Amino acid sequence: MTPLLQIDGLYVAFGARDRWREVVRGVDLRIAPGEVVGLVGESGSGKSLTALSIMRLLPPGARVSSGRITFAGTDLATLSNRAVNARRGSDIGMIFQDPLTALNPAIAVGRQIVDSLRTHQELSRKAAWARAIELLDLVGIHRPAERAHAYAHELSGGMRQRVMTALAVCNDPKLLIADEPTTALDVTVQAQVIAMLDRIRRELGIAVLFISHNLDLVAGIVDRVSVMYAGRVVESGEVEDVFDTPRHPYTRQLLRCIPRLDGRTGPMPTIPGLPPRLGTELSGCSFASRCQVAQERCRLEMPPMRRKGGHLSVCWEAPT
Amino acid sequence: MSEALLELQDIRKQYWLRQPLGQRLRGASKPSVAAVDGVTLAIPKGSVFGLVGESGSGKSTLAQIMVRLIKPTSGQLRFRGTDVLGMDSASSRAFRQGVQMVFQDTGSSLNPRKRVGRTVVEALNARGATAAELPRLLDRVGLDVTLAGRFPHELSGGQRQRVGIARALAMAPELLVADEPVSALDVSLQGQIINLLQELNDELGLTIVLISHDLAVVARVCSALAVMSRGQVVEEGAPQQVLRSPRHAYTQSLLAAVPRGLDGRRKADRGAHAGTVTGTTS
Repeated sequence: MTPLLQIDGLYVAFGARDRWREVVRGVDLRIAPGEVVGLVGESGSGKSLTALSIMRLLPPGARVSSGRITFAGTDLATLSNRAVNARRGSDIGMIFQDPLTALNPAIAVGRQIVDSLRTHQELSRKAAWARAIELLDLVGIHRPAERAHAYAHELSGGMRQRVMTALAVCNDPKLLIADEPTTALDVTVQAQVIAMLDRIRRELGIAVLFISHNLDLVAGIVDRVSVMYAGRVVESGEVEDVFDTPRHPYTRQLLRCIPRLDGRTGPMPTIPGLPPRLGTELSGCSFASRCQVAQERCRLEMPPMRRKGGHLSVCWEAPT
Repeated sequence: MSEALLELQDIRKQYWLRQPLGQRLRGASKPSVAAVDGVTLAIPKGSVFGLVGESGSGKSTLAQIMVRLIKPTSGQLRFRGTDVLGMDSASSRAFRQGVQMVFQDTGSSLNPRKRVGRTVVEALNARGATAAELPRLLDRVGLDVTLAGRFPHELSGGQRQRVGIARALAMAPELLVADEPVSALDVSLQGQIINLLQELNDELGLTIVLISHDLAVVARVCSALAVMSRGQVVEEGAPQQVLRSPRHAYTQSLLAAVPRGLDGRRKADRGAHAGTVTGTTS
C-alpha cells in the first residue's frame, strides 16, 4: 500500500547563522492509511520535533535541514504557507500534551470546533454548531449541548483532552498526530482517554501517529512502533516483535526499566549514565556509552541499519 | 510493627471557598472543601512509606502538613511522640532539621541563580556544619564534585534531583518526605533516584515517605503503603497485600488502569472486545 505519510532522512537542527546543531538525525517513518504507528523515546530524543516538522510547526530557531516529508503524495516542503495552513486541522489533525494551553481560554469549546469546521468546510453557523455537538458526543462528553458552551478552564483534564480530540478530528483528517496526549492525566483518566482515542480512530478510519515516552501505553494501541534515541530511530517494527524480541540494546534496557506491578522488590533496573547532550557530535553509536554490550567498534563507527523482515535495528550487535 | 517516627491523628485541612455576596448576607454557612479529610497514619521508624493517589487526592497537601509547610485545620501531628503543632520556636527548629522534603519540580525548587554547591552549603551552614562536608555529601548522592560549580539549568533533571536530595540530607534529617521525586524524570533515570532513596534508607536508616501517583514505583520499594482518594486514606497495608487483593473500589480501579503493554493487549484480544475501560473518576 502507498504510505499516507512518508518521512525520509529527516534532519532537524537548532541554531543560528553558521552554528547549527542537529537534534533529529536521519529519521525515516512510514504510515499507511488507517495504521497506528507509535513513536517512542525519552525527553530530548527528537520525537516531538519529528511530529512538529510534519505540521511545519517547528519552534523558532529550529529548521528542517534536510530530508523529505511526503503526505498523500505531496512533498510538504514545496507547499506554500497558505497551502500548509489549509492542511493543518483538515488533512492532518493534532492533539497536544497540554490541552489547557492548546485550547483558546477565551472562547467556548463548542465555538472553537465551529470555527475550525467553518474554516475548512462550507457550513452554515447552525449546521456547524450541530456538528460540533455531534463531535463532542462522539468523544464521550456527556450532555454535549451544554458542555459546548463551557470554557476550557471549566473542564477537567480528561474532558479537555476529549475536546482536543473532537477539534482534531472535526474535518475528517486522514492522519491524527497525538503528541503525549495523556502524559498530563491521571492513570484512570488516561485509560479512558486512550480507550476513547482507539474507538474514534476505528470508527473514523484515521491513521494515527502516537507519540509517547510510555512504552507500556503505546504497546496497547499501536500496530507498529519506532523507538528513538538521541535523534535517531534505533529500532522499528511490528509492535509485537519490538516488545517480545527487542533487537536494540536500548530498547531491551528501556523495557527492563519500566516499573511494573509484578510483585518484584529490591533495586530498580536502570540504564547507567545519561543520554548525550543535545546536538553533540558523535562518531559512533550514540547509545554506546550506556550500552551493556558495546564494543570498541560501537564507539568509533556508526552502526548500520539491519533488517529482519520488517524489524529494523541500528546496531552492530543485532543479528540479521 | 516498630515504633512510629511520625504520627498523624485525624488530620484535616479545610479550605474555604469564595461565596457570593447574596448568600453571605443571608448568613448561609460558608462553603468549604476538605483537601485532607481526617487522616490517621503512623510512619514507622526506618521504613519507606508509600503514599499513592491521583491528583487532587490530597497527598501533596498531606506531605506539606507532615513537614509543617502548612498548618492543618484540626488534628494532631507527633514526631518521636512529641506534639509538633503546638511547639515553641526552639523545638520547631529541631523538628524542621529532623524532617526534610524533596520536591517534584527541581526547576522551581532550586535557586536558578545559585551554583548548586552553594545551595547545598547553605543547608550545611544552617545545621552548623561547614562546606568541608560538601564533597562527601555530593558523593553520597552520586554527584561528581566538579558539578558543584554548575547552575541548576546546566544539569540534567536526574542530576538536579540529586542536588535536591543532597540539600535535604545536609540537615541530617531523620525523616525525608519525597513528593513525586521521579515523576518529572525519564523512565531510564527514575530507577537511579528511587534506588538512591532506597540506599539512604538501608545505609543511614533514614525514614522516607515516598509520594507518587505511580503505583508500580511505590510498590517496588516501600515497606508500607497507603492509598488516598478524596482526602481520605482508603486503603493501607503491606504493598504486596494491597496489590494482590485490593479491598477498596478505588484501589481496584487504580490497578486496572495501569497500562500493561502487550500483556494487556493480548488479554483484551482474548476477552474479544468485552467493552471499553471505564474508571470511577472523571
